[in-house]
Amino acid sequence: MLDNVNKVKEQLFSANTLYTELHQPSSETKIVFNDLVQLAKGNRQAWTRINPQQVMEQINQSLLLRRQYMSVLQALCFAYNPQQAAASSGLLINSRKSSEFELLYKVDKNFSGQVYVILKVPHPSQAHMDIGPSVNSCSEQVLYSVPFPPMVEGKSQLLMDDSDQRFLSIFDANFEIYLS
Amino acid sequence: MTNIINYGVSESLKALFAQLKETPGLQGRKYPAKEVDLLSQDIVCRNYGSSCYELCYLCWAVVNHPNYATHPLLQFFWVQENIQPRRFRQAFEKKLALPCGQMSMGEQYLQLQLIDGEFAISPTRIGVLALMLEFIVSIDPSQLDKIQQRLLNGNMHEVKQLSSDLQKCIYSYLKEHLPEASTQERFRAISAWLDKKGLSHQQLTDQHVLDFWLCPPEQASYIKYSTVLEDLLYAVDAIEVVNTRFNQDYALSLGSDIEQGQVNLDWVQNTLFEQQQEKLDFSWLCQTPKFLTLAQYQPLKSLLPHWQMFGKLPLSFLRLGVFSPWQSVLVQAKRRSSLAVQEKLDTSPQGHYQQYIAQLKQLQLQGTDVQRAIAHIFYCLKSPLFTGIMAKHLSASLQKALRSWTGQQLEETEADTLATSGFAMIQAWLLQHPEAQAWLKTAEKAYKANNKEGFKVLPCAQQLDIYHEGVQALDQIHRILSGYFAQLDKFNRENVLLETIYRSDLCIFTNRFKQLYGDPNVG
Repeated sequence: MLDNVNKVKEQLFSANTLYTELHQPSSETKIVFNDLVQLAKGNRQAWTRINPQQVMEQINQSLLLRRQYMSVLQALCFAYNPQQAAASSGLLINSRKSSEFELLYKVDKNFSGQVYVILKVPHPSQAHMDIGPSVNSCSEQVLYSVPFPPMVEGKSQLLMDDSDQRFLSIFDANFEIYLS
Repeated sequence: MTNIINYGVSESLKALFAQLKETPGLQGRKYPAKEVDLLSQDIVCRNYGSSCYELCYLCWAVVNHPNYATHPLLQFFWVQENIQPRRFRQAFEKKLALPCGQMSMGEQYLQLQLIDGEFAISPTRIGVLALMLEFIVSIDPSQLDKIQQRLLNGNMHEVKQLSSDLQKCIYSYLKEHLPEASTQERFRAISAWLDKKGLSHQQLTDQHVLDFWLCPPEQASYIKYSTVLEDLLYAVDAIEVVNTRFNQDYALSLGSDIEQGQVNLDWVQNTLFEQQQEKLDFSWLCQTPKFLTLAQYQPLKSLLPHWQMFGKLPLSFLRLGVFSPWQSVLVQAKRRSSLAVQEKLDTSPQGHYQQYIAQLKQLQLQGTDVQRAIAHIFYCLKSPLFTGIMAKHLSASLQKALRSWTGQQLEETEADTLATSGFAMIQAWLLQHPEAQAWLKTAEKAYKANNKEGFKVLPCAQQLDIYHEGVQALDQIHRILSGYFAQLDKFNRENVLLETIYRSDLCIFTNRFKQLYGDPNVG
């Protein structure tokens, strides 16, 4: 009986000290499942609370998180465009086209190294027009998420550097595209 | 000497709970900080069995609901965020009869009728259950698909089995991230030390705390002063609670459990977190609206939970406030070089006891300013609640006049009229009292000077509850600090001056820090 009384005291002490420790600042940062969902949904309002680039960096550092993010994307995306099978590895394709959306780019004639990436969605969602779509490009090794401005008359465009890995991935045949 | 201090909560688990409070939802933060704290209480008390069980029934209802044919859990909890009572009620408002069971939303509960039994879920539980699911899928993402697969057309047996598996999943995670062995060892070390000294929990003094830190028990390598004080207080608390309450409620109601050597987790959690309302955690004041900054709250964080001990251990908390931050600086310096340690040892802590007290008094004043800003918000949104804040700052005669006028209005005016014209009546009263008008001007000034989140633009009337809670919390902090200052004044009068004690403490702490950090092989 006395042993058990001591056990209860120990339990109280443990719970109390662990609770205090648990709420101390951590030297690490961690993302929870909801952060992945918000990023996959392209929820721009959420970005005041999470930094999408930091979340994406963490996703890219963990195979488990990449798989998890991919599965959320697959469940929630507006449209999908697979790898372009016929293309050679490392070569840029000029455009991607599916029944739901089209992606192409035009070189800026005035500024070298700058490209306009144009996204066309014939039947955009309300969120695409109000907030803007996100283009997620995914390979086995790395994922990118690119937010586009709100769509006007089914079109949105983004000025990017032609050496930007996110641009290269969108037009890399080995990447899949999830539009959210 | 076995080091048992550094095996507590993992950084990863701390970061997970911090992020649960921050993660965004459809509007602002997805989970209220208070609910995250509730979940963390379940976790540290390892009392998550019943929540897991309840969650499995909730998931059963979602998975089998025809409105969520694809990715039901993702849709329900993350896309639609049906995690407030009202949204939960709406999601289940339609009565359903399915091959695997029935579900119907009643006044109080969502009633579930499975083929082999029934269960009821209160809409008020939805927030905590959604958080539990977030916690589970954040520690083991594969669980989301497993839950869906196992509960589709499932029966009670499957629900129970799943609940048991989810508990195992949490248990296995906590084994790595929240080990109890070290805290149990720490308790045993303190308990043995108290026995050896022949001290009861009531006899603990400032000198005992200092002695313990200077010469800790062999089996525990206590180094940080803050850990020593905190552990002693928690140990004394645990001993006192069990000694006073054990026979009353624990043994009476749970005789069979204790005979079998089991600890009743509900009792532990209830004792720690529900009955002890005095265990104060105001960290939510640093969120939105930001009543206090983290820097302002930091000195209060370690003080407030132990306010009942201020009278008994007044010096220990002063030492905590002044020497503990200095020790943290030395720990950091030790990681860099011996030279850095020497530099920090040569620099005395920032401010002596009187300065630390002045800093806390400054915090009180800042809290009052925030209350003024809130009074302005109430006034602008035509809420009579501003008078409650204002009254505390008026002259005694005007306070009395306001009280008597309010009492008279409440007595003479009908409730409907008060609801519609109450604010106009207060405005009329204000016109007659320049002192009150002048105070309102200071409130407006305080609001304009406050640039923190939640004070930049006026909130809407529906958001006023949290501001009201903020006012009450700041009042409570103000009272606690005033009580502490009174204890210190008394101590200052009865004993030698704090300045003298500080000089002596500075020698003691400096010598101990030299022992701990001056030697390259220690620390």
